[in-house]
Amino acid sequence: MENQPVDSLAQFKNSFSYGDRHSGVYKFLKGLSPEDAAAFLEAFLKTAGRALDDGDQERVARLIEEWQVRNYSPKAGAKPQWFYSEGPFAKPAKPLAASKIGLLSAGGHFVEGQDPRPLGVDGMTQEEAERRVNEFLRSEPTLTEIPVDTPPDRLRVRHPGYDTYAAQLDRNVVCPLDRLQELQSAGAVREIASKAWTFVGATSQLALRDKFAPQWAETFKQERLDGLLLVGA
Amino acid sequence: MVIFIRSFRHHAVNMKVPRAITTQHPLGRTVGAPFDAGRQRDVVSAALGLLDSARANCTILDWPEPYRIV
Repeated sequence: MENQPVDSLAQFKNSFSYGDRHSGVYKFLKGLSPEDAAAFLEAFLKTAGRALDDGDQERVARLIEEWQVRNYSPKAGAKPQWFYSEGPFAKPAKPLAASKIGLLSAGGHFVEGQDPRPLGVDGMTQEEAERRVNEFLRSEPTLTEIPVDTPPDRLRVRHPGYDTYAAQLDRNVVCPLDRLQELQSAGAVREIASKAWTFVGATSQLALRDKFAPQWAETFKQERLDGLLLVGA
Repeated sequence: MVIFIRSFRHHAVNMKVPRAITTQHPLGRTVGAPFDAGRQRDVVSAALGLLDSARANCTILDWPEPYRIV
């Protein structure tokens, strides 16, 4: 281990974004200046240290979220990369309690045995997806169907754009199938569509906006949905 | 109705979505923490409620409670 080059702070923080130390939780470090990254790391270590004694892990989670917001929010004066036209505001024809609702998640879940085969690969691991994130971002999206009665242990998740650990533990964090079914049972909605839809949000945004979203909208219309819940990941 | 995390609120604004809710949750935990069914249900319910309550495009409800772990 002697004479091994030591990463600078800049190299260290950047390695968390699709580098040697990639982490979907901490990839935001790359967008921080070295000074801000140092400030985050100091705050994180001190907050984690406090949690040893008082068990307040939520304070750690909130610190991470605050710094994600700081990094991902656009800088003052920045122009958006994508432009969208505004459609007419559609008033619902019936109240929510009389409505049929569908679910579309950008979280990348799929039914075991029905791998959407991104980039033509069957059984791609999460790690490989992360290594190939740039190919995902240039590829066309695939709309995947999930019957809403699919048991949790029959679902898999894979997405190069975020840390999927929580989504593996509990699909509802980005694909709230169970929560919607509970709301249906409670009478909050008349009906949940018999299948949910998912896709990997890390995809060609141009293709998504101009080609596939309009196609998918036709699919949803055929389901006679009164509303569609879209969950970003 | 769209659920975004607060980090991506600007996407809701830029995309001019008709109805959106933002949560103060880390990336990858949009609706809530694993097994926090209560928070998840509240967020989904609030998002669905926008179908009835929203009166104009770009109605964004910012969920006021921070992330919690169960």
